[in-house]
Amino acid sequence: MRYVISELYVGQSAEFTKTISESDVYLFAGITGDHNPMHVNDIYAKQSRYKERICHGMLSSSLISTVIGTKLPGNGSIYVEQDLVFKAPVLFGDTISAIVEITEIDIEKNRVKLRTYCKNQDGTIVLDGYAVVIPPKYVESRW
Amino acid sequence: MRYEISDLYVGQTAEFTKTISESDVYLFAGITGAQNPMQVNDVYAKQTRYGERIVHGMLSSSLISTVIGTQLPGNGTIYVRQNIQFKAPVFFGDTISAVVEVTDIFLEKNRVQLRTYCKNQHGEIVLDGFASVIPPKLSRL
Repeated sequence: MRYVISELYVGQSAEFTKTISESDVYLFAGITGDHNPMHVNDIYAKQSRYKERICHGMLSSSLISTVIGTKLPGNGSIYVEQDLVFKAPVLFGDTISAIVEITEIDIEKNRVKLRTYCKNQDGTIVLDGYAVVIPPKYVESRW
Repeated sequence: MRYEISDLYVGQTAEFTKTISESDVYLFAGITGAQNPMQVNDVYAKQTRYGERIVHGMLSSSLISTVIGTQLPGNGTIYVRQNIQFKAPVFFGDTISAVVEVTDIFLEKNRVQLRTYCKNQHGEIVLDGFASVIPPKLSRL
């Protein structure tokens, strides 16, 4: 799915939802090298404020990039900026929805601004922020 | 490694460097669901401006979180905010250094602001931005 700037409108939104598993977190730790005990050491985590292991904030955040790159604006979008404010922990097994909503369209610069946030299965916003992207142009490729 | 706020100083830095492999990108795509053809379809990517598959911007960005959570300020740090500006593409096989530097210390609020950026093996900055974090307190885990 992909939209050029003329097909976008303020208020347009898209989302991607995933239940974050232990294996997601452990693979993410392996890829990034972020073996923070808060994510991969259950004994340590039990003694911390959260009482259990939590997901990497950047893992939940990455679901936003999934929505931008595959749905809105979709394939061919160029990521300019992503701002993230972390609001609440994400626990293993939480079902996270990453939501992207268009808030500004600058046709002259071919840029759009989006509110980007993630909420859990209880509706709690776990992270909030914005992104700036350059939507795809159809002439660039036949895909 | 971990530092509480009184151990930190402006200009203090830490970094983590990794050569990003194809398997890193493919696992990241699987975990996040970001099966964007720019990252996982070589035939598509060859027809784009970059001429080859590129790494997810959020994968390089995540290396910053590695430095913050494991080195500076380290274990127990609470992530408040991360801003990322994407400057240049990262290609498979690039060696990326995520660098974190303390820029402001707010003792009363127990908060620290950091410049956070990633550079490739040529010294080119591929992403730049800042983070706001609450450093750990040694009295608790």
